[in-house]
Amino acid sequence: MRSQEASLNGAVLSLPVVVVGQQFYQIDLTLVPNTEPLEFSLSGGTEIFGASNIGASTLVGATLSIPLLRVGQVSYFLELSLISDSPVKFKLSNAGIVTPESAEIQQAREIFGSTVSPSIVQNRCIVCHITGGLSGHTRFVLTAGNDQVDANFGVLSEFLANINGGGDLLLDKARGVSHGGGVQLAGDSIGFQNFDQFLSLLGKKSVSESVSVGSFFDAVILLSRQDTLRKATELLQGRLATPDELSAVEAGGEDGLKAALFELMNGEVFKDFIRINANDILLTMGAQDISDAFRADRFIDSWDISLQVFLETGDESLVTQTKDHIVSNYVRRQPLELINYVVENERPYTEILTADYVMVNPYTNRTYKAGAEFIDPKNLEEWQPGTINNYVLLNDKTVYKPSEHPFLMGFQVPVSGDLLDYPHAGILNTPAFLTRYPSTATNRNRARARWAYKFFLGVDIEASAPRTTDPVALADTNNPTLNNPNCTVCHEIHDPVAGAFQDYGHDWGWYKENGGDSLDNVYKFPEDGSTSLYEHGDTWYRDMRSPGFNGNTPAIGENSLKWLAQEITGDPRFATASVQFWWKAIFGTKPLLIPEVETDADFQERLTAFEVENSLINGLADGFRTGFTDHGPYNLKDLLVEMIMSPRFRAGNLEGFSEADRNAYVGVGPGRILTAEMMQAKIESVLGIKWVQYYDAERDNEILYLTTDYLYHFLYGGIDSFAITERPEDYSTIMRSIIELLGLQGSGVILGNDLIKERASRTLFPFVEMNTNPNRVFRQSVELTGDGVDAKVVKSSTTTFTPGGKILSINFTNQFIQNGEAGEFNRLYLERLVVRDSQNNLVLDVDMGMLFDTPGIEVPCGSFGPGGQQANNYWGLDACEMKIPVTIPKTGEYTISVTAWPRQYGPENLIYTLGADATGDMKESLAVGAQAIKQNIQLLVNRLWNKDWGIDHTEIQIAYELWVELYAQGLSYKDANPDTWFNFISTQANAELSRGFSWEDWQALNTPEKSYLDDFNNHQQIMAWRGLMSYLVSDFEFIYQ
Amino acid sequence: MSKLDRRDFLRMISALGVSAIIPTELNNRDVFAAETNSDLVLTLNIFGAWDVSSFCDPKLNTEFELPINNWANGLSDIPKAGNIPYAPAWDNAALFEKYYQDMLVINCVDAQTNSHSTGQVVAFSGRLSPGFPTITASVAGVYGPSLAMSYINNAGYKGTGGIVGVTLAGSPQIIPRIANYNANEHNFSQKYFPPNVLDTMQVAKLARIERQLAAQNLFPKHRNALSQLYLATSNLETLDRINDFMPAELIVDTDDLGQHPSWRQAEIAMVAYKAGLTLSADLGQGDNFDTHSNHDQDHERMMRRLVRDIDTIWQLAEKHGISDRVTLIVNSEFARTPFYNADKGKDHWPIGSTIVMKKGVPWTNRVVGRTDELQNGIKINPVTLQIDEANGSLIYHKDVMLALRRHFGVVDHPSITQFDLDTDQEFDFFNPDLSTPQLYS
Repeated sequence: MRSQEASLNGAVLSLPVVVVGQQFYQIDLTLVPNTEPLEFSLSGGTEIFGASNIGASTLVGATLSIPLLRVGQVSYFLELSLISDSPVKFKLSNAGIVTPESAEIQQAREIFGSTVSPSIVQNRCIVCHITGGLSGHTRFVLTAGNDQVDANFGVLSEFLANINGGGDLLLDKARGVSHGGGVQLAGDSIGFQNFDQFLSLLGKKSVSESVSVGSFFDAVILLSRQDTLRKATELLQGRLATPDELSAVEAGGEDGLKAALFELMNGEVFKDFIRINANDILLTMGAQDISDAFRADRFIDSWDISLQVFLETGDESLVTQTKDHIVSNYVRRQPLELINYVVENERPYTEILTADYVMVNPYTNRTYKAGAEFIDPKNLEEWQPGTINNYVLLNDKTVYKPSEHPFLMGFQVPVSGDLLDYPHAGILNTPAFLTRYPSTATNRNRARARWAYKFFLGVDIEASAPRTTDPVALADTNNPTLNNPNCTVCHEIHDPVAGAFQDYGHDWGWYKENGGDSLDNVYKFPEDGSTSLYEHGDTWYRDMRSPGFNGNTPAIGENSLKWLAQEITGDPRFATASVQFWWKAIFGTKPLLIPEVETDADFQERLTAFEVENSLINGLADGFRTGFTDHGPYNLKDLLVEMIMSPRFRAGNLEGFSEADRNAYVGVGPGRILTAEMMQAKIESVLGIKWVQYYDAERDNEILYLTTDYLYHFLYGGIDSFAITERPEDYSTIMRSIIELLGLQGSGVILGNDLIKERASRTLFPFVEMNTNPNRVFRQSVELTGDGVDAKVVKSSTTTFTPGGKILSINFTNQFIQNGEAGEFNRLYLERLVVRDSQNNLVLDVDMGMLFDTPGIEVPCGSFGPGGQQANNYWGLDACEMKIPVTIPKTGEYTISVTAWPRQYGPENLIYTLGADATGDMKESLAVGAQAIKQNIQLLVNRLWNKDWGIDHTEIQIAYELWVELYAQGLSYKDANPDTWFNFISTQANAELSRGFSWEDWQALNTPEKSYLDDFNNHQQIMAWRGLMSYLVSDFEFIYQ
Repeated sequence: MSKLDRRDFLRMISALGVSAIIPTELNNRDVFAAETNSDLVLTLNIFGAWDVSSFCDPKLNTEFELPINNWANGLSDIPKAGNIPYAPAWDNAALFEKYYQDMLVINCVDAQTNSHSTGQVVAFSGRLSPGFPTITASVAGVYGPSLAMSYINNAGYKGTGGIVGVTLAGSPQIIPRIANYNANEHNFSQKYFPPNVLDTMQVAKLARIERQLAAQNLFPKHRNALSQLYLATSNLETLDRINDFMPAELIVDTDDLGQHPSWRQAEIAMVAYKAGLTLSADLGQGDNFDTHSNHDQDHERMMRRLVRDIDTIWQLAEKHGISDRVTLIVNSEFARTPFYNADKGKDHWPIGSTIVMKKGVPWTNRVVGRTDELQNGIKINPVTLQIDEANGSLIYHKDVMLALRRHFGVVDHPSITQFDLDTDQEFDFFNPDLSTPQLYS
């Protein structure tokens, strides 16, 4: 109030502001000597304008009230009564001492003057809370100017005095709670602390604290560098991190991690990441009927690809398919590919709006005659910058005639209107953006403006102020968006940006749609005959605000949309909006909205959560704006690296908070549901299949279960960018059942694809074959040469046995030999089997000619043979497995010697497999087979769950025991149902039939690996592995991040 | 490995403090739905804001005022079906004459917004801000939070308030295949795994999640995700019940008025309800009623389709033998202006209507709430439902929501009481003895 304070200078009482009705005056009164009571005469005065009435003197009726007059250290108030109006004279009618301010008030005044006023009031509040401003109608109206400290202090004081809980309200508003102006002060900012202290000194706030913003991440256990890289690699590349990559970040520290993350931002999968996530926000893939946007009377010869298809095939349906689906989809991708281009080439991200080009692939290059050069013109996934060079005005020069190809909308355009330079403005005037957000006669580009604000400035106009429901305002037909304060509150910022889109028409955003403008005809030529505001040459509505942004307007003749692109990217909010744009892509959740209802039980925790997030967003935006590295400002890769490096991404677990406080961590930590697209990439990368329903050879199209719309795409949370635009945040039973299908059905080809490879090149099953069981001690192939008893030989194998019962086995594998068109059957003649320990002590000696007299030996096939000169009695073995029990006394090396000879047909030598299996509880087995299975399970668990667990980890052992249980159940089921058991599909596995691998290919495959899959004896192992695969793919670690 | 049943699990995670997604007290009807008293609650979402003055809150044109409805030109009276006045336009008469005994019309519902997105939120949840459950989610959350597809959302606002999971059924006809997850997709009788082996796998999967949930240092998001996964996994085995009720062919959803997405959505919901999998579903009518231009032409086409949709939904309920177990709520975010704009369109108007339909109950064949000739709101007494401009109240969506909560018996359930609608009074909309006198009575 100091600036409005009265002052006494000698005999002159100066009143800088006197309010008289609606007018303001500055007057001087001169003390009339020797008067009692004191009298004053008017000695000077003038009307002033724009003054504040805060703290001012007032003249009401005949009373002039002077609230404050300082004389020395004492402050007085005075009341003067008018006693004469010619000349004007007053007499003192009342006076008193004004109580001195308390120390708290004085300190509050100091803080207000030094920090709150300059940095908050004049820097932030004043933007709207000023007479005539957006918030000029509220109960909190301030005065601009650094000399208005006292006036504004008075406003605040008055507000706090009159509004119950006003201090808390101001603090909440500053933090953005129910504040049309959004967040002005983050809860952990110095400005907020000053404001908080100021209000505390005034005794007007009672904010309680729980989890504090500053210590928010103290209790968060962050992922290690390696785990961070694992998570990021899955996110950005849809694959597992390689051992080399993991080693590098372990050695390279945090800087090494940053470098590794930067390296992940390359290649086609990363482009998918950018494209999918950008579309999740922009939704331009949902642009409807976009083939009409590039019709031939607007873009010369724009349908020539379709026409070429017809000329080559004569198939009209293919023409429609080409135009409406194939080319249309590439047109829809243009905004997304622009982002990809900017990111890939590390151009300033601002170029997504300011680019004076459009991205085209070989098809859209022809659609728009864009003049781009391609490395491979046949590669439709190659995108290059070009310009729209065939856009023509639709005017009286345009000549139509019926098309000889009526399926192309029934017309052709032999003569087009004037060719125009298309004024590219990045995403903003791509046909996809304009078509996705169409306009109408009454909308007048407001939708386009709304989304431009939302996407690129982070401003949600719809949410920025409540819409009026006042019936009077609603019934206001006097152009309310321009005149009615209920509407202008939003339209004042909204409509100028709509105006910047002035050159683009309603549905498909055709540039200068009417030949010179894009104004609606109802406006230009009212059907009711009323006078139009339109004047020839206008390009915008005269009953709307002029094109502009933030109070600025484009220069006359300047293209308003290109100008808008520059304005938006020059606005500090562009960086903030960019962080918000990519927030969900990196963190999996949308940026938090500020809580609105203070009575909600968890309001405080949610407010804290919001403020932490907002602080992080602002910090990232600052770095993005100025540049995180020497890559320069607005490098999106750098921004994404910083987001991934943040504790928000790396939060692993939480310790040390109560359940109530934990609510502040909403959105933080693991639990992001992988989208259908991410799951698809993971399935391909980690499991080695595509999960194809069938391969449409005619169209060379693989129908994928997870990403095909009519199959599981939408049920697994996919979007169509139009009707379905949100991905689910809750995991449904239906989604779970789809994963169950992956495990139960897809496991067959997961096994098949890997197991038909040679061991060394397998990624999933390098340690086992499908005949590996938990008790297996060893297997060895033995090859016999020659033919007949003359070739009799003793073959010895050495292995390590633990004590206890073992089963030795001889399995004859290549009995059938193709011989011309017929076949012959090899036979293995066995004479003797001997087991000795390392000291040559005999452990077992089996005379094969005495098998009928030897208990415990299992020989399902073959026959006895009498000996002769060259051999003793023998057993002729057919294709089956002979099992011989033996008890091993102690741990050590043992030699198993088999005396045998072959009966060989054909050129191939006879091969049999000598094996040894332990007996006893498979779960406790220490046999080589058990170790191999565990080792393979360890690999699968770590690969599918992205873990680095040792073989003795509890979860590995649990998974192994599950495998054994499934295996045992399979064996039991097989024994009980020998004739039907194989009808269960899980007993088999085969490679995935897809592009490049047909059923015929599968049938023709004849390898030892495939023979393991086909072997009936191995089906219980296949079932066990498929069951285990189902267990692994349905786990949280596989389907969430 | 031992297998917890769902109730054990719910108790366990409740003890862990995961009350956000699970009600603390299980309702004793949280079992096979066909054995419960709970209706199948369906909402039919009229997106874009319908013109109730051309439907259930009919308006004639008023002298010296801008015309409200071109169809009303030359008309001097409004017909009634039973006690329900309706607009004699397009195919309305057939619908109202056939179903007036099954309708409660609530007129003069003030949306307090003109924003579509906000309107969808408030019309289906009762609060302008997102976060509160829809009435469909509320019913599902109280009577069957752990059913496999307790709450199906095909369109519109899908708020659950965290009390139940939502199944987004974009292509409902594929649900039968999904339900038969252990079978060849071309031959449901051929299975992947023997039942006992499948059961072993199921037990192992649930046990694994239990071990993960037992960790003490999880973020709430992590724990909630694990809880959801547990419920979804434990619900798997219930899915195949749908096979017992699935018709050989789903309804053909295209006719002379085009494709009707709500028909198959409704039929799948009914089948799932009979199978005990579902208690509620939001159906999307599919059109965009936002006729800012060429209102008459576009609204006529869409209203004819809407009439066909409502009729077909009830025919489906009859076909499946559950017409006495279905409640259908027809709702939109708000209404359209009682005048045409320069583009022959009608813009947004916050005063709209809600229709609640059910067969064989005494509270239908009534209209409550009242607007004037120009579709402005008129205050009524919440207790008597009579006009009371001096002391009465306008009706807001929160009032309708409160009445629906009470009607469905969920209003006092702990899952629901946390979502305070902040109402000043309670309207007795479902009292069969009360009606509000209408303009054209």
